[in-house]
Amino acid sequence: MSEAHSSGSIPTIQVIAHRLASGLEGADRRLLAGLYAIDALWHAHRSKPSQDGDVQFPASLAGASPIRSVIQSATAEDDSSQRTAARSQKFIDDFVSLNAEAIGFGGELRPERRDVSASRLPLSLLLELEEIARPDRMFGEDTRLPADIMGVLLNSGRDPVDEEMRRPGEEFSAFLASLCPLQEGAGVLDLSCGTGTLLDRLLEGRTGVHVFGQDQDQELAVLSWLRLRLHPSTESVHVKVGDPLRYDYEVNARRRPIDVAVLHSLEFQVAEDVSSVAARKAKEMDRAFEQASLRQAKLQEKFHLEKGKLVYFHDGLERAKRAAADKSEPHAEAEAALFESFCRDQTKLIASVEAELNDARKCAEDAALERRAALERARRPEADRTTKLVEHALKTVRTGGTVVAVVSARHLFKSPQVDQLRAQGVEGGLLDMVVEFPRGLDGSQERVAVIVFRKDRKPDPVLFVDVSDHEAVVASRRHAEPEANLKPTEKKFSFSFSEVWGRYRIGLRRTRSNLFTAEYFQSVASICLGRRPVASIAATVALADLAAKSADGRQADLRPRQFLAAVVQDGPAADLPARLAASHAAVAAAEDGLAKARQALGLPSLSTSNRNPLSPRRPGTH
Amino acid sequence: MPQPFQSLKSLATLRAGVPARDLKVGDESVELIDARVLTPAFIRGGRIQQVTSQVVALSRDVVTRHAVRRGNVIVTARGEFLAGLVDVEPSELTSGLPLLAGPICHVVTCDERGAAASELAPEFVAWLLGTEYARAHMAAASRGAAIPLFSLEAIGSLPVPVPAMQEQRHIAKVAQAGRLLREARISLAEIESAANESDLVRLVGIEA
Repeated sequence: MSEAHSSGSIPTIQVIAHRLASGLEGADRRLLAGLYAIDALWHAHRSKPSQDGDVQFPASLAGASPIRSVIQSATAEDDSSQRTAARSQKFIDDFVSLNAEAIGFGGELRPERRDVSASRLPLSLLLELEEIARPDRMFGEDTRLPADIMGVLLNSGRDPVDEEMRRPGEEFSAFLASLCPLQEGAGVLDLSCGTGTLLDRLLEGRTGVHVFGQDQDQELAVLSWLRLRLHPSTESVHVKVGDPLRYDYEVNARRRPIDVAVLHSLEFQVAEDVSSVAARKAKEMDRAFEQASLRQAKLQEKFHLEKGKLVYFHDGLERAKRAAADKSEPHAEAEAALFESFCRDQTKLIASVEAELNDARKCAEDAALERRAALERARRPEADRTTKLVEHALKTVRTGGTVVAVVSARHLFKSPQVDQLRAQGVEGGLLDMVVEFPRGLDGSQERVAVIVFRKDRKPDPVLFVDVSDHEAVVASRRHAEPEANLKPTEKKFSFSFSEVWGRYRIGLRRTRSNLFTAEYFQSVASICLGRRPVASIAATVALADLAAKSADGRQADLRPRQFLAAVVQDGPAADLPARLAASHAAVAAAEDGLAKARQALGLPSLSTSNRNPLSPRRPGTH
Repeated sequence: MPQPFQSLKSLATLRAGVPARDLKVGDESVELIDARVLTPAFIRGGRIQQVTSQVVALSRDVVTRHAVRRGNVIVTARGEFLAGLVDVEPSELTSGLPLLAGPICHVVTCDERGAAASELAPEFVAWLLGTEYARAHMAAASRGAAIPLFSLEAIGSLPVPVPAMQEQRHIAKVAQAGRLLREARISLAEIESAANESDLVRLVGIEA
């Protein structure tokens, strides 16, 4: 995010956030951010049309900026906040339709109009935004400002959109960005880009980056595209709407290599264990097979019965025909016609019964096949979506590229899913780092893990980090780096309300755990980038050791805790003599300190050989 | 001439910690500030240790009213009578957040009272409140049968000696030195015990 700047006429990001804070509550933030972004693009296009020639704006603007246009219409019609929201959404929909292909729609993916009947966008908020954050003024001060303001509109204060949509927030994104090495001209792909927060963090301090984003949520993909288009660090921006496993970037990857891919798979978690789902499916197919077989048997019986009837009718017809030919019976011809009709009807009936029987037979066969397949899956479940996304990301990045996967920590536990991740990471030599976080990260109800894969990495040990103990993590960094690497605003510990408010208001969401502060994430990043063992927190493990199988024939899991326990146990016994010596020295120093302090007070030494009892004082006096 | 003892309340300001009712999460419409709440668990060795209690979001005026400052002496309001000095900036104990005295703590402030400079040094008060003398007084003055409760009046009624400021500071230094020696000796005893154990284990051939 841009640093606070000293221009007297342009407010800082913090001031803008503060002034908009009360208005943002209850307003549709996505709508506001989208409208602001289009407004900023319009201003940018006006000043430099050649650079944004591929962006088109609705003809309804008629020379006014998008926000001004909405304000004018709302004022003229005396719109309520709901009506203003609807008007704004219509404008955004028109913009998206005009630029659908550039934004990433295509084929069967078409822009959908969101229902905003319950949304609010107060006119006063638009006026305030236009007054303090008009894009042309912002661009003149710092080209980063409009993108930052969009971030504020989306995620500052209470109820940030990132949290609502379960995407990484500001602090976590900053940590993930620190794990991604990006040079100028590099390509970065985010497979669940959300509002573009993580990509925005990745672009901090870098230039000329080719950005690729993708998200299943159309509105988020649009917001991401707008935000990244405003960002001055991007060389090119491509956003795709849709499921990454169906609409992938492999073609783009071949044209422009992707150096870093990030995926965030928490929202795609399977609700329950795949094998139990498959086992239930097998039971259902058992019942279906039984019912289909029963039906088949009944239909078979009916078929034979109707066939029997047909034979009877045929016999009757033959007899009647013979009688008619012989003229031995007066009504033989009528009888023959009747039997012929019976035979026709019966033939039709038999044909339909036969069709039903074939259908029942097919149902029974299908049920049997599904049952067999479900039993197979129950024994060996398919890879879940996370594993598929990781495979997809690894295929997409170039040789030497990095994949950072944010997944549920259950993927670290011993299970068939881990076996598949392990096959990719360990046996392929790609696994570089595993970081396990505690519950509550970015609103997640479960523990989160970050797994880093690097293609063609050197055979260095793998780093395992457990940062569940928030206090220990922060303390370890303070111990290792007491003064270094802290920004000036974070060094100061004086208790100042405005400072605390400014520091913790923007980007820190109170609905999430308040333990995940910027300092915590910086400490975690320091440990991860240092790649050094830290007692109870981080350990390095050789790839060969990881490949060892556990006693039950399946590979051990990837949880960091098991490797940290060994570090703790090995420590104390090894350096007892040194600790004894240090402790003796500490006691001697403390005895000396006490003796001196007592001497200054005129008290005798505590040593029993020359101690005289002090004369008692009268109670109540000294 | 010997100075008579004076009651603590005549020499220092006493106030209660934040009431439990104020610890609920504030109304969404008011500005909230994250803070940590001090409990007796963090009073050890006559001082306040690193506070690792859960962070809470409270309204600005609650935080302002109950924030603890450097030089405050925190005492417990029930149970075992303990006293601890806040001898550093509170934010250093809380990873940068404000620190509030909790519902079962009282705060003793030896600040300036009107025009007169303080007659008591905070470190002297913290030591005095940790002595057996203070504990005996509080045991006698407390209410409650199963769990003793220490009211502000009970704490304020403690007769305290008032030596010269320099002497107070010296006394506090000696007390601190004694405490450090005690802790060093305990640590030495623990390490010696571990070394002894390790030797015995090695002697009998048990591998770790």
